[in-house]
Amino acid sequence: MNHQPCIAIVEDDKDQRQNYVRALECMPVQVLAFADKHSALQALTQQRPDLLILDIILGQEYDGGFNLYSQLNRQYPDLPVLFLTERVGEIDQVSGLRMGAWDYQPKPITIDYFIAKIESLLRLTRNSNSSQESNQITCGQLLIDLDRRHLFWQQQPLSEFTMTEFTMLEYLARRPGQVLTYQQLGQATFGGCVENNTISTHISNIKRKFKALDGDFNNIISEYGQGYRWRN
Amino acid sequence: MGKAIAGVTKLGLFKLRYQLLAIGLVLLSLPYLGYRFIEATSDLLQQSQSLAQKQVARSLANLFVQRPELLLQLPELSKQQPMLFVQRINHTKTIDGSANDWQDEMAQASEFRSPNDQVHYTVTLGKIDQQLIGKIQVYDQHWLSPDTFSSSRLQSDHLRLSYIDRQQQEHHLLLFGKPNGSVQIHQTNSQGSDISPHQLNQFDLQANMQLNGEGYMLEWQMPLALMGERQLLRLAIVDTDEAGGTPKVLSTQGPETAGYTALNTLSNQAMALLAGQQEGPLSVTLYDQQLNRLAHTGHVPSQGFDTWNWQFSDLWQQVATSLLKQIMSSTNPVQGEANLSRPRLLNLALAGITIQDRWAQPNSQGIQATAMPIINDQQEILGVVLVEQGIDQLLQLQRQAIEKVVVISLVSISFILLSLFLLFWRLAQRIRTLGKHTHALVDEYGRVQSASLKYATHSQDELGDLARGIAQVMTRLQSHQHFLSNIPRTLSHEIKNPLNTISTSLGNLSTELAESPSREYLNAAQRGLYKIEGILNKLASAASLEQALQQEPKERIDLAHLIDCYCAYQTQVDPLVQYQGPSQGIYLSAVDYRLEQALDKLLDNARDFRINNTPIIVGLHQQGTWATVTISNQGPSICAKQAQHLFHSMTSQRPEAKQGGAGHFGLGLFVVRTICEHHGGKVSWQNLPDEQGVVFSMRLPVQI
Repeated sequence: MNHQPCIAIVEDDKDQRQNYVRALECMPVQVLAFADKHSALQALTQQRPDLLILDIILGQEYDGGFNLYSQLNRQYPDLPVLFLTERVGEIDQVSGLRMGAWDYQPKPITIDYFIAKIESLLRLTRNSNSSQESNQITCGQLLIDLDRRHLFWQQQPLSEFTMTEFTMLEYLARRPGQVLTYQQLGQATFGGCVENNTISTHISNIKRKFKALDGDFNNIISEYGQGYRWRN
Repeated sequence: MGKAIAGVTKLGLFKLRYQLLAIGLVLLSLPYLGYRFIEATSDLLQQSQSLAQKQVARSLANLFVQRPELLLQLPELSKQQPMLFVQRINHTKTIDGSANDWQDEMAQASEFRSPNDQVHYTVTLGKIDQQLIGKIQVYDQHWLSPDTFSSSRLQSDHLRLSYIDRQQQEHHLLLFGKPNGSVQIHQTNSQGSDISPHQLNQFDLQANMQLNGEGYMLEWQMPLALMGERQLLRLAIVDTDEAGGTPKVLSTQGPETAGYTALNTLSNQAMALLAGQQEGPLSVTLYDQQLNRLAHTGHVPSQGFDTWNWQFSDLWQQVATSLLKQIMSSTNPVQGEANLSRPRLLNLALAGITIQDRWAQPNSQGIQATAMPIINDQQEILGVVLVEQGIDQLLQLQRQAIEKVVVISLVSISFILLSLFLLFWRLAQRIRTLGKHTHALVDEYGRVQSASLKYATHSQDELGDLARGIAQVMTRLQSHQHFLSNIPRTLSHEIKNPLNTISTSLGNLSTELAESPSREYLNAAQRGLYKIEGILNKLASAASLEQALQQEPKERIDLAHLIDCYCAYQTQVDPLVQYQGPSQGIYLSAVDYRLEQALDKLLDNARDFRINNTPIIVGLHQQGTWATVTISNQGPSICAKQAQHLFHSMTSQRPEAKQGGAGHFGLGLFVVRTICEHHGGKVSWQNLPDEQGVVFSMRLPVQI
């Protein structure tokens, strides 16, 4: 008998919460939806979800999502979390990632992208829990563990990559030497066309995280006007 | 009264206007107070001097009341008859026929007139070192030289001088003046019939004559030893108006035999008595009932303004002397002149009135005199004691005080003016500095860069008030600016939840209406939603651009390579984009994708405004330490009115047709400007020649 993954959604807005639940009905998953931190905490301490989708602002509590995750993380250290929020500031993103969030997705989101994101995260969850050998790709000194969503550069782990950055880096690394246009990167990462500057900002963040580990990192090349390419 | 600014200290007496008022009052009161002090002191000294003088005169009068015989030695004279009068003089005279050195003695001159005023002259006599010095001013416009008549000199204009020697013999001398000033002296007999040159040696008698505007002046000097004890002298002027005319003779006609005048009228006993009583710089003269001088002692020293020893320049001395004379004339008025005041005083004294007066003396500043009648027990007036005293000393003290006050006032006023100048100069400098600091708080686009005013906010004066007021206003403006700049982010933040509701609802609806014909409306709604999201993202991104730029590290990049690559790709998309510049070798410190973003904006701009099928020229060149990127297109030019807000946020010059649904909010050039400034550069624009288009230029500092 197949075990249906349990997805917990904590969203204080009733309409959005219902839309998420409705969208997930087409998937073979069990959905638990909560309107506030208190009810979510009470239920989820009794049942560990396979994936937690959290809004950060819950009712009057500005950091309600962060606080809830912080408490649950003590009980479930490996709990996969997707922050789905209107707070898009870099500080919020960094805070979420440092707490252990798997991804940080700004609102608004389309249902299709939402489902794709959930599927991706569930796949990662399954793979990370699997005892089988991980699905890995190597690109020069870069090792990408696709299943466990782990990155290694010169055998040193890279941390605090969002799912967007992880996906963008994977897309580049799978096509070394090939110039990937802004449109291609946007399509691969965001599922559609985005501003060139949005892509560049993410690439800049990726480079910064590499350079924190290796000051001489210079493997992502800007193809001015077109996009970027990975150089081994 | 305006409302006080909150937080502004009440300054009270520290306010500038009070400081200036205090300085002005001190400035105004200083000379006035000094003047008042001197005036009061001067009055006191004058009163003291007058009182002391009156006491001296009274004591002398009382003394002579006890010795009435001293006042009755001379024969009675007609009061109508002028007489020769010898003054004691203090300095020798130059026998040059000039009156210049006779100024002090002019007041004592005796005047002689013929009954019909045909002959008129004045005689001044002085005595010094046993020499008799005389000066005759003859008022005669028709002087006839003795050389005119070779036959008889006696018919020319001349002076006849007669005296009686110790042996009681008469001597008659004739003094003939010449135009060159020399005087020929002849002697004659009592009838004047025998003329012979005077045989005395040169030390006996010297004379000189000079013509002047009023006639001629004859000056002579002779030893008193030539005359006897009583020093009997007679003078006569001979005046001939025309050749062959009858000479007119006007003699001094003294009271002695043959018209002689005894020059020595002084009583030795009275002189001795006066000398014993006289103290200090006083001149005391004793007169009998006929106002004959019986005794005289002391003298009034002459001293005038001109003897002041100024240490300033000549010009300044003239100004100061003139100024002081004005002041002195107002504080020490004199009532008249000596030759008018002294006789008036003496006549009043003879009438039994003790009187004091002050008058000016030629070449001197003033005399204060007291005339005291000598009245015996029978109330008979025996004579007059005249005490004269120069007020030089008093006036000198007064002048010195005024001089000091003037100097101190000038120095003080200069100091105060200098202080005021420095104060206002400093004030102006502070205001300018405050202006600069205030100006620096706001950038050229009117944005408050900082509300922290670091100048004059701790000052305790009005400028401090102003600075604190400005700081408060700046804080409010910055707060309001912060509120305005946060509106896009706040709006974006607040609107994203409902947008997410719509987005997810549309997503679910799309699933349910997969095959429905109504799906096209759903798709339209989704596209609209997508545009709204784009608008929000752009607004939020532009609003936080500066903050984002601050967090992005710069790297050394090759600008030429960047633009070359960028344009190469753009040319693939749009062949009319042409790059004219180097392909490598211009380095700068920059965030490459931000420069790309700026190029995107400028290129979008050029595409929107160019004339169809015309090229867009991208250029790059380096000049010194600056690299300039230019993007030009043919199309409408920019007018000055549009240019004012060209680089401001949310300013668009695009025609409506090109605005699009979600594309342009007038953020592009604002983003370009912000990126350029973040890299230490500047963006500018220029219309192409003949108004055929526009070129935008980004000027960026290169890294050598």
